Amino acid sequence: MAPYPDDPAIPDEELLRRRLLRHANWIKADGTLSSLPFQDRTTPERLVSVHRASIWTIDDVLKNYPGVGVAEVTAGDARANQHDVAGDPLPEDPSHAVLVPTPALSSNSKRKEAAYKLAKLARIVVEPPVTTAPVAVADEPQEGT
Amino acid sequence: MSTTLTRPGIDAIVAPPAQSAFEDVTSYLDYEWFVDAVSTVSRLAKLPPNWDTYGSPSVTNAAHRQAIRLLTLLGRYVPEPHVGAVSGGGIQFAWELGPRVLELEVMPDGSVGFLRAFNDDEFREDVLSMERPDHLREQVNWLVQHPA
Repeated sequence: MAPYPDDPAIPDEELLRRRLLRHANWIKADGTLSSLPFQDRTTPERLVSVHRASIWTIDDVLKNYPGVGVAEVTAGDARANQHDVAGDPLPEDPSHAVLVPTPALSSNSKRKEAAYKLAKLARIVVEPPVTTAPVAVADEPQEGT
Repeated sequence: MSTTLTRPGIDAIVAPPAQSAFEDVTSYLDYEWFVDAVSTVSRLAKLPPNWDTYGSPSVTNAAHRQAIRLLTLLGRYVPEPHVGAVSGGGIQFAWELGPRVLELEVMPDGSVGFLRAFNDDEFREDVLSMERPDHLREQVNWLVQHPA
């Protein structure tokens, strides 16, 4: 069984939010989103952490992380682009979920395409402030999986 | 119908063409963006661990070195890229010319992947062999040798 199976309790219409980093150039010069927010090689499985809108508000996502913005996609968008959506609540973040590449992406030949398409579907709901200063990362446990 | 070449391509990566080959084309050589891009890569390489708030490590030394190498190889033949950090310790370059998008992602181990997108509905993605200059040339020529 996959360690992060798709969670049918997360409906397709649920919004999934992810923090945006301007200092890492995740926003293009024209103000649109690059594909970078939906790529993550931190884990071998390339899981992308998100926050479920049914559990956390935008303010919750931003709390303790000054200098970041927020983008959102629907769970249906993720599923339509070969990602399972798995709940992965953490002690400090009950809204935490992960986008899990499906076996269709396991060849590694479609993952960038999927990230590109997800970024096109995503909506920026909070613009990161314009600054090149490093974000002040809160002194809390990291959320990565 | 033949395609009008409007950009020099990157044949010079393997064998520098005669100067005359560039007489009728516009070089993208622009030291201002090149220096800016190198500076951006260096800045991104200094991001601290957890820079993405999701536990990413810093950009690796291997990715940093490979990114600078790519810029040096491509600087003369491509317009200004969008340069960003990839969670997990990589760096990505992206160009958008009309309907064509090319992304070159330098992985944490220094390997390079590419994505080509045409009109946002035709995609090609693979690992780029840095031991095969023709492979890199093919991707960049696809981007720059076709009018938008």
